Parts: sequence; structure tokens; C-alpha cells
Amino acid sequence: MTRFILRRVVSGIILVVLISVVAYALLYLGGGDIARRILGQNATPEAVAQRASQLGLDQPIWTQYLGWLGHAVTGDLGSSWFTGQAVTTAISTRVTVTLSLVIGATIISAIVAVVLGVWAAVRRGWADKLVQLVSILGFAIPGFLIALGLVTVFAINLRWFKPTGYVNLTDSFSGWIATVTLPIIALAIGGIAGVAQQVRGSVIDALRQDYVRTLRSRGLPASRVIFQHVLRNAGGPALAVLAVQFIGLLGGAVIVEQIFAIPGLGQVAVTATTQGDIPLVMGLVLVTAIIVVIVNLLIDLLQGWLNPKVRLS
Amino acid sequence: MTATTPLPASTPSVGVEERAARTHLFRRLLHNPVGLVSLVFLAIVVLAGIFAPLLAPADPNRASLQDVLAEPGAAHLLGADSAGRDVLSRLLFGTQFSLAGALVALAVAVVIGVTSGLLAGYFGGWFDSVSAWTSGLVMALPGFVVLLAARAVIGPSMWLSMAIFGVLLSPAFHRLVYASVTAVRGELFVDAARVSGLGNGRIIARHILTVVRAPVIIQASLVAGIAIAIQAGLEFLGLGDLSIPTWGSMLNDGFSNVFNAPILMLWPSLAIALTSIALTLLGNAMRDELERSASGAKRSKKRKSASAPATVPTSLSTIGIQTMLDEDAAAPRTVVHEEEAGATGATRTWRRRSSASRTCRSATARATAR
Repeated sequence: MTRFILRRVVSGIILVVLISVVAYALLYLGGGDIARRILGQNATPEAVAQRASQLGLDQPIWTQYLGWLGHAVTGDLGSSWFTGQAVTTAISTRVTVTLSLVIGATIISAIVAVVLGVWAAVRRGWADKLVQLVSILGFAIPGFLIALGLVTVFAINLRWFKPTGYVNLTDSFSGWIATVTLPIIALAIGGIAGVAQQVRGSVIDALRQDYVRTLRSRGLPASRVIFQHVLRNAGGPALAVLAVQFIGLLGGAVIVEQIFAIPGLGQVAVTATTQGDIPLVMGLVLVTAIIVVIVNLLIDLLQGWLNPKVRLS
Repeated sequence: MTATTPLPASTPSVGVEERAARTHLFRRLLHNPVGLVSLVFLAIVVLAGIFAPLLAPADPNRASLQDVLAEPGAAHLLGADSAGRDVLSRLLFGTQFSLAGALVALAVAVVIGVTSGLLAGYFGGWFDSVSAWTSGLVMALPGFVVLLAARAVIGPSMWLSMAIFGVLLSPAFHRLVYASVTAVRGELFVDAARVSGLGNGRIIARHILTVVRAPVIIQASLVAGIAIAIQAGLEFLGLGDLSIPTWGSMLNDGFSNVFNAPILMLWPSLAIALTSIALTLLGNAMRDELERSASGAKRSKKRKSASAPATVPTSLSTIGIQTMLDEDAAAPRTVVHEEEAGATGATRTWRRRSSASRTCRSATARATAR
């Protein structure tokens, strides 16, 4: 098991470094005359050249990258070109907000999807058809449209929730719940659609296996057969889909945060993008890559725990 | 589902696909109620987009101070937006640009994905490993964040960002085509073609492309829906090109005026949602029809009953995610109960690799959209 974890950690680190190389090259080489863009069109060529050497932009790209990497390893991602704020500070104050949304949405979609998927697989008939229909709609309708619909109906027309704003989890739990309920629902619906389908399919497959018949013939109650044995076997593929959904949720959170005016990574991402604040964008790419790698690692560990065969492959 | 399903014997499903492709998918779709409705709706949308210059009552970008947030009426059939621009005209021109943007992404994804999938699947070798690795890397990236990063560099160009999104989508086609091609590469008819002296190019064009055509069309329908959603998302955030009307930028305008004129959000929302749903349902209907026509064909029926596992018909006839994108339903079976399938060592390793990764892939394509 230790070797399994170690191998995954090493491949994760390699992935993060690779992504940073590609992103750095594209961002810094594709950005054109960066010093000119920061200083504006009226700056003198001397000022532009001075700024460029100040930012290290006159050095070869690989020297620049190695310099960036050296600082990045110590937790210094440079500072924003436009606000001067350290990238690490700008991101770390907001990453918890986004993560609380995304993790909340993942947990909700896992629970609801398992319930719906098992229900559809066991009941079949109309229950199955209903879950299929919900899945199709959840799959086809973009998440931000769902978010817009929720805001319009529940926050603006019915006034059950505040349409915008965010309260920190540490400040007030009820306040947090009130501000994140709609965003989490908006994010979770797509995940529910995908994972419920997968759970349904895997449970139907697992129910046909001989071991299920054996367990039943031994007189085990149906609920125990399903929740202790069938779900354990059906869980692997569902987890794989959930991991992918999580990656997608990070992107979805950008739009949803914008709609609900939640001060998360999404807002930084949009401002940094429109301004062309390359160090900040680079930091965001790196942080998302790290989050994705960690989540994949956790899912791999869960997979290995659910199904020992995975550890060997 | 069919050609890419990691079944114990992938041959029948491929045969099925190939036959089905020949039995006029289009004509069959017309007899499928869901397929027909989606097709008609999409046709209307496409025509509305193409003939927007003729249909639109006004210039979509002409602002007028008197008409700011005008109610629907004789002057503006669907009202006017916060800059006094005619909503109906913007909706029609928005259809044109939204569809064109999605088409760019789709075209890039198909060209890259199908070409690399064909080459990797047919010739194998180093290109195979490199492309498998690259598509894995691309799939591990959160697509939307990549698009934002790209936007920071290239500026607000809808065409460029959709082309980049096409690159991000290409693994969806690469893996599909790769799986189909590896499944038929060892087939007798391919060997026969080679023995009769056909060159690689001819074999690929004549025999291999026929096999991958149907699954690629189905995948394209689903991917187009994703591209429309992503493009609308970017424009909604105001990261797109403000000079061209799109559904997403209309939505943005509607949302900023949600307290004054919530109806502005209605039309672009409906356009995006209905088009996405129609594309998804169309993909499903095509898959269902291919499957039905395949099980109706005599030859394939015989071969199918001989080797396909019992689970396949259920997972094929359902209308869910795994049937929409691909082979999820079969994946757990092959991973967990491999021995039972009685595969040979070679196919077993292939399946293990492909089934696990593909389970993720179908969802990835969608997940990137959120």
C-alpha cells in the first residue's frame, strides 16, 4: 500500500511540474510585450525596457521559469502586476471559499447520486425512468443556467435566500449555509446527473452477479446486501466519475461564484484574466493543478480501499 | 456505445456499428420521435442562424437611448436590452455566432481527435503512447481554468478561445476513435485488404473510417452541446468579444438587469438550454437507433447472441449518460470481474487500461463544461 501511495504521489508531482512548465511557457511567450502592457501605450521605451529587466523578462524563458520554480517551491509565487499583492495571499484567502463550495457540492452530489442510483437500479420501472430523465436534463443544461434559474426564482422572486454575498464558515455556520445553499445546489446538479447514472449502471451490473444470489440465499436482508456488498463493488466506477466531476466543478465554480458574488477563486480568475495579470493567472493554474492532483490521489486511495485489485494494477 | 464498448469480443459490436452506419442513420432517426423532434428543432435553430441577416428586423448592435429596456411590442417584438438594442435581432445573430463558435470547437476537436486516434490506433508504436499520455494530461486539466488562462494571453477573441477549447475536447474523439480502430485492426477484412495489396492510406479511408464514422457523429452531437454551453459561459462572464452578439453576452446583459427586466434572461436561457438538450437527445436517439437497427440485422444478431454479455442490451437501450457518451456500464464489469469475461491476456490489458480511463473520459467531456 505504501508503494502504491508513493507511486501516485510521485506521478502527481511530475504532473504538476509539467503543467507549470507548459502554462509558464504559454503565458509568458504568448503574452507579447508584457512590460508595455503593464505600463500602457504612453510609456517611453526606456521605461518599458527598465520595467522588463526589473521583472526579469529580458532573460531567456527557461532562466525565468527556473527562477519562478525556485521561488514557487518556497511558497512564493510572485506578486500581482496590477495590485502588487502577493499571489499567495490573493489565492490563499479565497481558495477556502471555493473549496468549501466545491467540496460541499461533491458531498451532496455523492449522497444524492447514490440514493437515486440505487433506487433506480433496485426499483426499475418508473423510478428508473424518472432518474434517467433527471440525469439527461442535468447533463444537458449548463450549470450556470441552473444557477441563474435558482437565483431568479428563490432569491429574487421568493426571497428565501440572499441573492449575493458570502459569510465565512468560521464566522457563522447558519450564515454560511444561507449563502452557499443555492450555489451548492447549482453546482451539484450536474454531478448528481453523471454519478447517479454511473451508480445505477454499476448496481444493476453488480446485482446480477452470483455472489449477490449467494448472499441472498443465505438470508441476508436486502438492505445489507446492497449497502455492504453491492455498493462496495459498484463504488469504484462511481468514484472515478465523481473525481472527474470534481475537476469540472472547479471550472463551474468560476461562473457560479460570479453569479452569486462569492469572493472565491473564480472572481480572482476573472479579474486576473481580463487584466492579463500573468503571475496571478499562473498561480491560479498551479493551485488548480495541485488541487486536482490531490483529489485524484484521494480518489485513488479510496478506490484501493474499496477494491484491493486496483492497488496491484 | 457500440464500437467502443470494451466487450469481451469487440468484433460484433464493431460489425454492428459498421452495418448500422450503412443503414441510413438519418432515415432511421426520422422514425424515432425523440430524434425527429430534436432534429427539427436543431434545423430551425440552424436556419435561424444562417438567415439571421434576412430575418432580423434591426441591426443587432444598433443602440438607441429611447428604447432602453423597452417592453415587447410592435417596435421590438421581444423588447430591447439595456442599451436599447433589439432583442429579437440579437437573438438571431447570437444564434449565428454561438453556433459558429461551437462549430469551430467541434471542428478542431474532430480533426485533432480523429486523426490522432486513427494514427495511434492503426500504427501504434511511439505515437500511441505519446498520444495516450497527452490526452490523459489534457483531460486532467480543468478546461474552464485553462480557457481563462488562455484568454489572459490571447485577449477577447471568441474564435481563438473556441479553437483552444476544441483542443481540450479532442481527447473525447481521440479515445473513441482509438478504441474503435484497435478493435478492428486485427479483423479479417483488414488483413484481407492488406493481402490484396491495398496501401495503408486506402485501408484507413475505405475500411477503418467507415467503422469510426457513426460513433464520431454521435460524440459530435454531445460535444457540440458542451461547446455551446462553455462558449455561453465565457461570454456570460464578459470574457468574450463584446462586439458580436451571442447568447452568453445577452444572458450577461439580462442578468445585470435582473431586477428591472428579468425577461431579458428568458430568451438566451431558452436558446442555450433547448439547443443543449436537443443535441444531447439527438445523440441518444442516434445511439438507440444504431443499436436497434444493429440488433435487427440478421448477421449481427447471430454474432451478438454468441458473444455479447447479457448486460449490454440494457445499458444500450437506456437513455442515460453512459449510453450518451460511451461505455461506462461495461467498465465496472471488465475491471472487477475480469476473469469471468474470459478474455485473452492481450485484450485484457487493453481493456483494463481503456475501460478505467474511459469511465472518466465520458464524464470529463461534460465536466469541463461546468
